[in-house]
Formats: sequence, C-alpha cells, structure tokens
Amino acid sequence: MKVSISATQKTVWDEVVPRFCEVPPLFIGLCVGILAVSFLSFAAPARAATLSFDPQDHTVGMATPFEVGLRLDAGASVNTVSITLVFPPNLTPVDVSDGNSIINFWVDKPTYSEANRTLTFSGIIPGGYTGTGGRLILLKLKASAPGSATLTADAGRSVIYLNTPDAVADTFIVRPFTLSVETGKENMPNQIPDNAPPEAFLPSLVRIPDELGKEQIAVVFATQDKGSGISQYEVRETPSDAWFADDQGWQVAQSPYVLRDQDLRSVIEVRATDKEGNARIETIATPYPIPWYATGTFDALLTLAVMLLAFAFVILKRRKRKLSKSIKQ
Amino acid sequence: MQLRIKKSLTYLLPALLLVVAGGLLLCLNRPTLWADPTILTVTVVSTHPAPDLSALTANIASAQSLYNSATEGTLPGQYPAPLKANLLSAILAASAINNSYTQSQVDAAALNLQTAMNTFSAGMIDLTPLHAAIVTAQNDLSHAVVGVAAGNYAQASVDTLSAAVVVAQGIVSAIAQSVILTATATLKTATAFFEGSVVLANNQILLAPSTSLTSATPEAVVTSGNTATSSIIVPLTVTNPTLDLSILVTQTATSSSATTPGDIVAHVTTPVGVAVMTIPGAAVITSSDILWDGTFNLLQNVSTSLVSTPSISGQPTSAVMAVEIGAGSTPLTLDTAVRIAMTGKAGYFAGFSYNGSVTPIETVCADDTQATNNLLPADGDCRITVGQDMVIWTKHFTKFVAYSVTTSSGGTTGSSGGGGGGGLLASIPPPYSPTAGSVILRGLAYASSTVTLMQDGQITARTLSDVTGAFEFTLSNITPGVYTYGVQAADSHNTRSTLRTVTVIVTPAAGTIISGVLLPPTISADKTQAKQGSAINFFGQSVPGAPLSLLIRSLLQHTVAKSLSANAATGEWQSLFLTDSSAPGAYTASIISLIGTSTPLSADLSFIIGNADVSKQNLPAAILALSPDGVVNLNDFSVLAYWYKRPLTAAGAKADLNHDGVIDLKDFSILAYYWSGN
Repeated sequence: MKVSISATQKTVWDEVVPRFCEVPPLFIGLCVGILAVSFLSFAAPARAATLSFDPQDHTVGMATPFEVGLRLDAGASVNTVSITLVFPPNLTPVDVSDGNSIINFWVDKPTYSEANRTLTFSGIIPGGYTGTGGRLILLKLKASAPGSATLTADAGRSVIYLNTPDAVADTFIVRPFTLSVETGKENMPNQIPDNAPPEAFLPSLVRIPDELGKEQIAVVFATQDKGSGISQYEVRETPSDAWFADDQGWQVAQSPYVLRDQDLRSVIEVRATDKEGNARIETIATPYPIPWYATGTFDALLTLAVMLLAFAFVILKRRKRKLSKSIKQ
Repeated sequence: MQLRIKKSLTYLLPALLLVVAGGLLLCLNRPTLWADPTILTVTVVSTHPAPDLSALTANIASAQSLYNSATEGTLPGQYPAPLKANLLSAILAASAINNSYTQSQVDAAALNLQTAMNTFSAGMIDLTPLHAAIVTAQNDLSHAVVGVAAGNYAQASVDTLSAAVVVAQGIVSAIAQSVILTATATLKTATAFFEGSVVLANNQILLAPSTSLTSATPEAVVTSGNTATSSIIVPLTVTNPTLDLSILVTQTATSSSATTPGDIVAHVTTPVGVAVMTIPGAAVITSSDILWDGTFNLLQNVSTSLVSTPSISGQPTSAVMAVEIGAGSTPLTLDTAVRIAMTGKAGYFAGFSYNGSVTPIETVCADDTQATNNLLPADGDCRITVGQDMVIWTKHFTKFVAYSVTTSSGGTTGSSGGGGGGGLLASIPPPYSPTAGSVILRGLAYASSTVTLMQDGQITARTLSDVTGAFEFTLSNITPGVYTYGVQAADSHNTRSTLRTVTVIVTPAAGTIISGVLLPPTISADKTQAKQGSAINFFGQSVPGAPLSLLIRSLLQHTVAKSLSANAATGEWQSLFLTDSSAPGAYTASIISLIGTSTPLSADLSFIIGNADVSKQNLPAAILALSPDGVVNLNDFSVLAYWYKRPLTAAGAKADLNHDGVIDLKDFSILAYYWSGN
C-alpha cells in the first residue's frame, strides 16, 4: 500500500496543521510520512498468521490415543478461520475438542472425512484475535503404524480473514509437524478431569425466512466448555400445560433450531453437554402460555366437577324419592 | 319495675355514702392542701441542691484580670472604647449569679462571660496580619522584573501593588480590629491580582479551581490567590506536567521553600493507569538547594523499564507503574504528608527511587487520613491499600514505583495471557492476587461513557467510565480456561467503538488482571455522500486530550492525514473536510489515537464525493438490512448460519452481506467485524 499526497489529491483543511508541518515542504513530507508509517504499522498485517501444531509428545505409541493442539498466531487481528487439516495414513482423529478454543461461534463444527483423510472446520471470533498460541482445536489422534507421520493443513483449502469490514483474506503460513510413531511407546493419558458444565448461555428466539420466504421461528444458542469441549446440544419443547416434562423429549439440535411448536405455547429448553457428560440446561419461558381455560388440567377439573354435580344430583334425587315414599307410607 | 329500682338503691346509696365519707376524711388529714397551695411551691424549691459556681467564679476572675490589664485606645495592643464597657457589663451580670440559681443558669452565665472575653480579646488592635501581608507583597515586588518576558510584570501592575502596600503601611491605628482585617484582605487581593498578572511562558497556565493541562501548556503557575482547593487534570498526552510555585518561593541562607496556599489535587493519566496526588494547603515544600526555583514535576510518567526494582525472596521483580514528583536531582521535602494514589494498583509492592534503584516502602500506614500521616517522620513514607488503589503517603518528592514479582522466563507470575487482542494487553497479577477465578479488566475509553464487556462474544457486563475515561470490570467465579474478552464503548453520540479483544487463560490458582485496554476513537460523519465542493463534518470521541490523526483514503489508496487533538475534558473531536479539491469517488475515513505504545484505529467510515449531499447512517446498509436495530449478535449469526450452504433465495438476500450471491465465510467475517453482542 502506497501512502502519499499527490497534487490532485491535495485537501483543504479547516484547521491549522501542526507547526512542524506548516511551511517547508520537506517538513510536510516528514509529517505525513510519520503519520503514514504509524498508520501502516497498524493497518497492514504486522506479520502473516501462522498455523502450527502443539503435540503432547514428539514420539507417540500406537496403543492409546494422544493429543495434538492446533494453534494460531496472528500478528494482525483476524476474525474468521476456515481450516482443512490433512492426515497421513497412519494417523486418524478419534475425537476433536473445542474446549478452550479461541473460536467463539462455529460455522462448521469439525468434521472428519475418512475418504479424503481431512478434517475441516470454520468459525468466527467477534472483534478479532491477535496474539500467539491461540488454540483452535484439540485433536485426539490414534496412530496405526510405526514410522513418521506428518500433520499439516491444506493452505489451498484454508482461509483466514482479517478483522476488517470487507472480509480481506490474511496471508498465513502452515508449519507442518512430523511425529515419530514407535511400537511400545506409551502415551501419557490426559490427567485433567472436567467436572464443570459448559458456560452459562442465553438462548433466544429468532424469525428466519425459509426458502419460500415464509417466516419460521427458531431458537438460537451457543456456548463454550472450558474443559473437554461441547459434545452436543439438545432442545426440548414441553407444552405449557403438561404436568411433567418428557425425558425422552430431547432432540439433538444445531443452532438455529426451527421449533416444532410455531405457536410458542411450549417451554423451550436447551441442553448443552460436554464430552465428559457435564450438562447445562437453559430455559426460555413459554412466550404464549396456553390459557387456563384451554389447558388439559382445566378440562379434567371441569369434567370432575360435572361428574360430582351429577353424582350429587342423583343422590339428592334418590333421597327425595325415599322421603316421598316414607311420607306416603 | 319499682321493685328493681328499690333493689338498686339498696346497694347504691350505701356505696355513695362510703365514698363521701372517705373524701371528707382525706381532706381532714391534709389541711394545708386546701388552705394555701403556695406552700407547696416553696417546699419544692427548697429541695434542689446548691449549684456549682466554681467555673463561673474562675471566669469572673479571668475577666476581671483581663479588664484590669487592658488599655483603651486605637493603637496596636489597645482596646477600642466600647469593648471595655461591654466586658465590664458581662462581669457584673456574671457576678449577680448566686446559689439561688439553677445549675443550668449558672453554666449559661459562665459561657456568656467566656464569649464576652473572647470578643474582647479579638477586638484588640493587632497589626500582625496586615504586616504579614505587607511582607508578602513587598517580597513579590522585590523579585518583580518589569518587562514582557516570561516571569516579568507590567509596570502598571507593579505600581498598583506598590500603591496598595503604601496604603497598608499607612495604617498604624484603628477604631476597630475589623478595619485592620479589611485592609489585610484588600492587600492580599491586590497581591494575588499582581501575581496573576505575571507574563506567562507559552507553556504555562495560571492555576484555577479546575485546570486542565495540555501538551501545549503543561505547567500550572500557583499564586497566593489559590486558597481554594485546586483540581488539575493531566491527560495522557501531557508527558511533562509541572507545578510552578516560583512566585511563592522564599529563600534563606540555607534553603529555598514555598508554601501551598490551598489544597492541590492532580489527576494524572499515564499509559499504565491513573495516579492522583493531593498536596494539602499550607504545606511547606523545602529544598536545601537555595537555587531551587519553586517548580517541580507533577506525577510525570517514568518508563517502567528504566526503573530497577529489588528482588523479593530471590525472585526478580519488575515495575508496573512509575511516576516522578519533584525537581530531578534536587531533593524536596515537606512538613506535611502528601497523598499519592496509584489507581488500580492495590496489592502491588511500593517503593521510591532517587537514583534508579528502588527502596521498598515497608511501612503500612495506620490509616488514610491527613492528620495521622502528618505524623510521619521527616522524609518518611508509608503505603496502604484503599479499595483497588495503592496509596502512598510521603514527606518527600522523588520517583514512586509499583512493582511485582516476575518469573525467570521474563513473564509475570500467575496467569498470563494466551495472546492479546491488538497486542496491547498484559495480564499481570499483583503479589497479593485477586481472588482465584476472578478477572479484573481495566482500560481507557471516553469520558463518562458506557462500556460493554463481552465474554466469548456475549455481553457479560456494562459499566460507566469516569471523567478521565478510565473503566474497570471485575468478574468472579470464572471457570478456568481460555476466554476472549471484548470491550466496546459508546460515545456521546451513541456511536460504538470497534471491539477490542484480548484472549487470556484464567487459571484456578490465581486471579487475572488485564490492564491497559485502550479503546480506539469513534468516528461519525454528518453525510455518507457529499456534493463536490461541500464539506463533510467528521466527529467522534477519544480518550480525553489524545493526539489524533484523521486519515482519508481514496480508492486509489492515496491517503491524506491530518493531526488534531481530542478535547482535554470530554475527548470529543471534530474536523471539517472540504471536498472542493477532491475528485469524485469513493473514500474511507478513519482516525487513529496516537497514545501509548499501540495506535488503536477506529472503524472505517465510507463516504462518497458525488453530485448530491446524502445524510449519514451509522452502519453499512447491508448490516442494517440484516439487523435493523444495529445490534449485531448471535441472532444475526444464526440467520447467516441458516442460509450457509443453502441455495440463496430472495428471502435470504439480507444475509448476503457482501452481495456476492452466496452466504460464505466472507459474510461471517463482515458480521464478526460489526459484532456488538446481545
């Protein structure tokens, strides 16, 4: 990016420029140069982003899985990443954790393709990320044959966007990592227990037009788990007049989840569960509860009342009949 | 019926008779009660104990002595005529009190007499205050140089004060002491006026009850008229704030000193936090160097890298804040204690430094009051934690430092960041860490602005910054892990700043402090399109007093830069851009704050130079189409996520933020840029 003032671009300012910029042309150049350098130093990437691997060990065995983190160093602020990792024949991912990831919202959750031996994911970091060592995902891998195994990312199928208003792709470098797989080597298990549920979150309702433009109501949600990572989300819709929530009513869901009850007469619950089974349930109160006179409870009570009245009527009738009989006698 | 009445009378009549008889017997046994009620009154008085007259008697004796020794007259030491007569009347009135009075009456009489004595003493003709004022004025005149250079005075000012001195010197007697006091006040006013007429240097400003220093005028000149509390605001841009008491300096053979006429409170914003110093009124600042001219640095920020802090238990330490007060190598001492508060530095180690190496301040203050800390020994210091601040009380001026232990690898102890958004942040736990699992985040926004904190992209808290723009969040019970915190502020026009983020690791062992979050300036314009030749008004808000650079870029990436400064008090800025010399086309405007080590950049503001004026809109049309309320959050993310990888129909067109006919990661990136949380 070239920064200069051309004759045709000269601009009239209403205020007096600083004194050292005032008269001599040389000083004007110096002044603008200083400002331009300071501008460039911020606006231009300080350095290319770097994707690297953070292995648990450089030498691994085949008996049990081991962990490798994928890290991002970003000299300039980046807000969106889409990465495709490539696995050698003797390494296979058995699990992927988003715990402690710098990605706040996932566009594509990590998905492994055995056919292509690739793992892809994408997500955003609102406001951007600048720094070193930011973990994107934590891979749990299993080695299947001894020898060397190189992990890398496919730069052609990966993209990182700068935190700009117009989605400018950042340049980035991939640092492949080569592991040595040895027979008999014992991998250290991860000793850190995860007893904490996912972070609290706030599900909300949105209207989303479908392909035909018809609006449908969906619940949206997202949270993080600082330990093992999110395993899944589930949604349960319980009619507001139900006496008990159905344990079998949970539906595995992804945000946005289009509600079955489009009349919003139900209590909506979202359950986030981490990979260790710790769960957090957040609830949206029924936006439009079923009116009392239309609930099943009311129907049951009304029926009971009618039956009682009928029973009382019959009893009274019988008594009256008995009384009349006794008077006649 | 008759029978019933008879029955009743049978019981009622004897009862009535019994009551009447009992009453008669009672009267017979208490004859005096009926005979003369005044006897009862006399009996009551006679039962009270005799009053204690000792205090009254002592006061009468003192008053008598005072009266006898006093001489009526109008000369110094004499008492104007009515005063003696008034005192005599008070003595006589007090002497009339005897044992027949109640104790409260006796006490009131003693008090009245004491008041009369005080009035009498105060009424003595005393020229001392007038003579002191004359000495001060004559001192000013003796140092005054007539001229137009800095520190000089106009001849008229000298003449006026000289005339006032002559008038004051002419007063040798008075019909009342109030005349002397009035003359004293008049001379003091004339002296303060004279001092205020000094020709200021370009970098000086007269101290007022509220003074904001600027980079152009970083030196406040104190005069004897500054008797009320003076508040000095020193914004971040002023790197060399100075207090000038040269007018008030008096010299002896061995020292030079100046006395503060009133309390002086300086609020200084430095790149590493805010410090507040309070110098009490009547504090005598002394230098053993008789050439000391009465000026000293007022909490000047010192680079922490230049301060050598002592190790603690063998562990290295590093400074987190260092400020210099004083006159460089010239030692300055005080007879009363000065209070220095390093805001947000609670729990750090404190020390002072004369020659680069830091001497720890080990003494903990008994409390945070002026009276207690005035008892510090000469050159003494102590420290105390007050809320989130570390407060140092001292009787000498030098460099003061807050510091903490660092690890051998160079990072600070405890939790450390996994990376900082914008490369601006450091996570530095103090020696006395905040609660484990808590996060404290501090920074600078705009004066009195609403600041929003997001945790992992979702709004967690809001707070209001103070007048200097400083804000602080405290979060507790945070599950250990990696967090991305985002901070955003709304300016006085409700325009939001860009989001500043930092990613940190919260550990279970220690709390985390994130400091130095510097929000970029906001930028708005009154138009999105300007007719060529018309003007566009750019405006926004920044850290008060910050130097700014407004950048206008054309599509060809030609950039025009303009320097300006934010208002020292509010941080607001504005600049008029005339488009008559600019070619029609698309442009982008942004503004950079040139403070601290980073240069936070505002959002880009697009505008067009065309053939008509079009009024402003705050967010791009595409964002407003997706989110008409301008709030960009998870709901909008979900709309994009719904259409992601689906065939895009007209119904989903609003999710296509860059209008390329497909919802892809570019749209998500644009959304992430404009993110404002829930």
